[in-house]
Amino acid sequence: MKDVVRIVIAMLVWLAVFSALYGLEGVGCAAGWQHIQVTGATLFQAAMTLAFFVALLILAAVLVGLRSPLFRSDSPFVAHISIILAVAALFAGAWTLFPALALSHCA
Amino acid sequence: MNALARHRALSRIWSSEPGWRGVISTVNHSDIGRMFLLVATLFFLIGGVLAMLIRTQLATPHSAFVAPAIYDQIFTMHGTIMMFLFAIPLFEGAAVYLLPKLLGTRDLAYPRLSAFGFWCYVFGGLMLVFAMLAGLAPDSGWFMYPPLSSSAHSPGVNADFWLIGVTFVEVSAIAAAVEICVSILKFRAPGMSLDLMPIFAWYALVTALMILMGFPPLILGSILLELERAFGFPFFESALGGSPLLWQHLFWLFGHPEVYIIFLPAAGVISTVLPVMARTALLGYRWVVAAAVALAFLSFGLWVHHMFATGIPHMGLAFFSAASTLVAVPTGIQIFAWLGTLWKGRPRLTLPMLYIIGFFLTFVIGGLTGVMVAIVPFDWQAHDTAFVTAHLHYVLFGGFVFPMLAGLYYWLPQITGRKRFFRIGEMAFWLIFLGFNGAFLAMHWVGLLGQRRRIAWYPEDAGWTAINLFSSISSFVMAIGVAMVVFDIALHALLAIRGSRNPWGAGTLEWAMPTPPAAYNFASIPIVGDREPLARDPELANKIARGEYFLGAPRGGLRETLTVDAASGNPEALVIFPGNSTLPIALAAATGAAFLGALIRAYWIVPIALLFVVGLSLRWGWSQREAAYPGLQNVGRATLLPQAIDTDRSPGWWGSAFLLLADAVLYGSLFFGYAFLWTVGPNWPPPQWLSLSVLELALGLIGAAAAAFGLHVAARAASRGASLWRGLFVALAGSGMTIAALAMTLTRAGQLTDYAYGATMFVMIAYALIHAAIAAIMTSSLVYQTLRGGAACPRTSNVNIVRLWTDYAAFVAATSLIATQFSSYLT
Amino acid sequence: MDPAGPAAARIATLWWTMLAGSAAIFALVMLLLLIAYRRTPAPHQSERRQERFWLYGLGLAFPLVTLAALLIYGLVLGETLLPKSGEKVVTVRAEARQWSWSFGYADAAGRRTQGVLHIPAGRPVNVEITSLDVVHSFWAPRLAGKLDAIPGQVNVLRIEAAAPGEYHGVGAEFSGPGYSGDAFTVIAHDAAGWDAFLGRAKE
Repeated sequence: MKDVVRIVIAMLVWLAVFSALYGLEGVGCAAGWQHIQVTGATLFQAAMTLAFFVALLILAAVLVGLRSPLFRSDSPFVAHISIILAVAALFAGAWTLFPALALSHCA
Repeated sequence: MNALARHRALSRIWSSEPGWRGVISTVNHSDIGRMFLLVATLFFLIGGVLAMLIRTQLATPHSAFVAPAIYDQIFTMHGTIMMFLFAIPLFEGAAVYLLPKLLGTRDLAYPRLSAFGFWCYVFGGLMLVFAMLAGLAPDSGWFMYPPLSSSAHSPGVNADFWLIGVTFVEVSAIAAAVEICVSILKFRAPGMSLDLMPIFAWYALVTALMILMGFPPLILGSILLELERAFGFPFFESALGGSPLLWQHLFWLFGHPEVYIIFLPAAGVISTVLPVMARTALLGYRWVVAAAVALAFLSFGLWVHHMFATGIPHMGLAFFSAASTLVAVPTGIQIFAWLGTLWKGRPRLTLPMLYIIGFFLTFVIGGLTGVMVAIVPFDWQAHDTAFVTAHLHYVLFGGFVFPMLAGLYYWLPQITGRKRFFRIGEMAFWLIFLGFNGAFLAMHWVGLLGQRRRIAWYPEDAGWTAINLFSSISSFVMAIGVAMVVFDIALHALLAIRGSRNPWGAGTLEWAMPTPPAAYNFASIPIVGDREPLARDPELANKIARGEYFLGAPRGGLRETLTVDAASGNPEALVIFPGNSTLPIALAAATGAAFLGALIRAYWIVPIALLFVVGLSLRWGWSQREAAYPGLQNVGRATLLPQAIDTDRSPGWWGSAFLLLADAVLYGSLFFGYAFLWTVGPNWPPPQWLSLSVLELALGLIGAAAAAFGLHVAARAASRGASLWRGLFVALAGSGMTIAALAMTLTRAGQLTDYAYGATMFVMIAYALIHAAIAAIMTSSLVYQTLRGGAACPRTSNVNIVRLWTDYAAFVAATSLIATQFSSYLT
Repeated sequence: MDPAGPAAARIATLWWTMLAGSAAIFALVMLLLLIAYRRTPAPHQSERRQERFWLYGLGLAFPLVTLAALLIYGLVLGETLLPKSGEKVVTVRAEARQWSWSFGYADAAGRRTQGVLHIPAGRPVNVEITSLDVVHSFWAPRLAGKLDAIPGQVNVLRIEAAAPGEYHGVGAEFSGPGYSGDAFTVIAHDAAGWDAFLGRAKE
């Protein structure tokens, strides 16, 4: 069963951080963070940018973890698939969340 | 024992009862699978007739064929039937029928659960068909957006039929999904490690996991909407602190994964059939598996793309637009893996292959238009026009019906043991293919010209008349094609001549058995060392029939099979299945009565029916076949294995774990709803908060901890063979305290339910209370088993199952108490 | 697909671009499918090389590049269509109910029109959309995309008509039995006409 977890974990984490950033955006807009200034940017921008990099860091950690001998599967098949999916999850994180860096806030 | 004597002995053990009694008492997966497929096909035909009515209505401008009030029922039922009563059950039927045969085992993990799921589906479907015949069918669209579907704007019983009928059918889908997950992971032929599984099993596993994660949000949404309709809990009423958008989120949180739940099994069929037709193996097996998993998860990040026009901030839309384009990548990997497979092999142009080519043409178009509507600005124009109708039919008909027809013609010789004789199928293909493209290609165009979805009439001067007429005529051509397929299959079943055992030269195990298949599937359970065992060893079928592998010696009238370690496929335990039983249909009927009572607002029926549900469930658990032979069992080939119910984690434990996964998703959705109303809902905060009660909080938390601790102690005692009394006593006392605390909170929250906040508090606490009650009932059943005594009663596996449920109930009680009691401090 | 305003025009360009791209991709897939049946397979091609060509090349790299370009195009375009504030922006209000539309004007308090929305041509207009009963959607196809009218919530849509004239609009979210006939008209005035409309409103 642990092998099943190894296969699904990376994309599951992607889903979690994706939902978290979407949720953070909703909370930020509801709380009016786009109107609060902190050192040259709005609190909203700062929070979203920080969250973006934290999300990528978490996904990268999953990838490193699945490659390390500590968590790597004994089955070459499962090891290979879990690493493909961890790379995919990291990539998906960058692809789907990059609007956090650039786009209009709360409009 | 020779092969024939073995066949007779096994058939006696595994057969269903003869005649009509066999239909209601069968638990055999081949029977249930065929029944699922048959009923799903009937619903497909009903949905198809509704589609023809829609096209008749739209063939001419200002049509007076039916009035809008009826037309609204027709298109709502068309969508509902095709999604819930055709596509998902057809997958379930195919999986239930095929999986044990592909995996080299004798039945699914829980034979009676398959039957229960089937009867839930039949009863739920009948409710909706009855509503339709009585003219009371739901009429707010298959997406049921409130406030249109709320009692103020849909006062009749129509919407209740949708909410309750569909939820009932979803219960069946969850049951099937749990069954499929555990069957694939634990019930395989020895030696079949994860990388040797037939590719269809991977797709089915991914699909079943998606059902477990995708359906609960809609079940929750339906419960909330029904509470709003029946008791005025204003979850979706913006004036009272709710939000109509909450429904849209919950609906599409289900609705988008649903599309991939429909597509993935079809992709599994293609990945199975196409390589056989190309006389080679699938290119990039590992990549295809990874693509299916990635697709499944990405599809959960798309739901807002159905809500691009609801005024969500552009950044939010951008996340989902990006995810919606990305989902095309794993789809592309699969398409090119299939094309590469064709290049690698020597493709034949058989009838299944014809349908696969039809799939390629239509699905690629559907995928490309899908990318178009994933782009936000274009969607703002195309949304809710006939363009989207055309797109989704290209994806669903092209991506599901064509592959399923390919699968039908591929496995037909396996199901019937006959050879196709008449050449009607080819003609039917061309009618379906040309009719489909005529009908829906035209629909893209008229959508871009501005024709909205779901309109009952349009003016003459819109300039859409010729296109619509062409589309309608084409759709009737397609309908004739479908009718010819039905005719072809009927002829085949009645008249065709016997065929050879493996007509396509396939390599998977379902072709290594006599056709039509025997009730027991495999006379002995083979050892697998290859992805295509039959291709490596053409003698395999005979060796299986001669009983050369596991469990080749039938004994004691018991239905036996093996479980394996999920990853390596090493044999782990012996399983003894229950025999034929009418318990599933009775339990489904009792569950149906509870739903029906809620539907016709005769609430006194509900508790009575629920008592029956509890009683029958307990009987279900107790009538589990006791071990006929104690200790380690000889399963053949000089191998000794324990019985599954003597292991720490029995199939029942795994089933509970997967069911609780779905349950946890439902609970998570409830939290999402709470947070959503909090942040986005207009008219929040509420006029009155639930105040903190230290007594309730302390009592509940201590009780939850005690219940979990008590079962922890009991489980340890059971594994050492010591007395369970101390642990069970603590657990029961803990459950009692939790129930008392939750009941107190529930009464207080019950006074606040005329506002969305209070209603949410009420549902959270009620959810925790139900789970605490389930844990208490299960613990009591352990007490009963201990009282009744017996050598090793209750078994460790049973205690572990109750422990799992109690842990979950404790977690739910603690989190919901904290979330509700402290809510006034969170502002 | 007969745009009469900047938003609708840019979306139409997007559509034609995507259609051309899609047609090319569709043709490619069909060609590959056809060749599969026409060629004799090379006997000893390594599985690894085939995987590299089909999965890494066509399956991964090709869609990623295409989609990245399209996504960025779409998002940049989406940003330009947002209702940003500006000096020349006119604000109007649209209220939907089953099954009619009622419009109000920020520049003429108290003025309401039923079923007809008046706007100035050549100027950006923000439409504040809401609903009094069920979910509806505001859609004037030749002017811009659609935006939902949701009870308890106000959504703002930017529309603009390039030239004076009458434009057709509909409610575009299913809203019950009267849905098919749920329509309104947008009248775009030239500068003089718009002043006259407002002036008449003030009287």
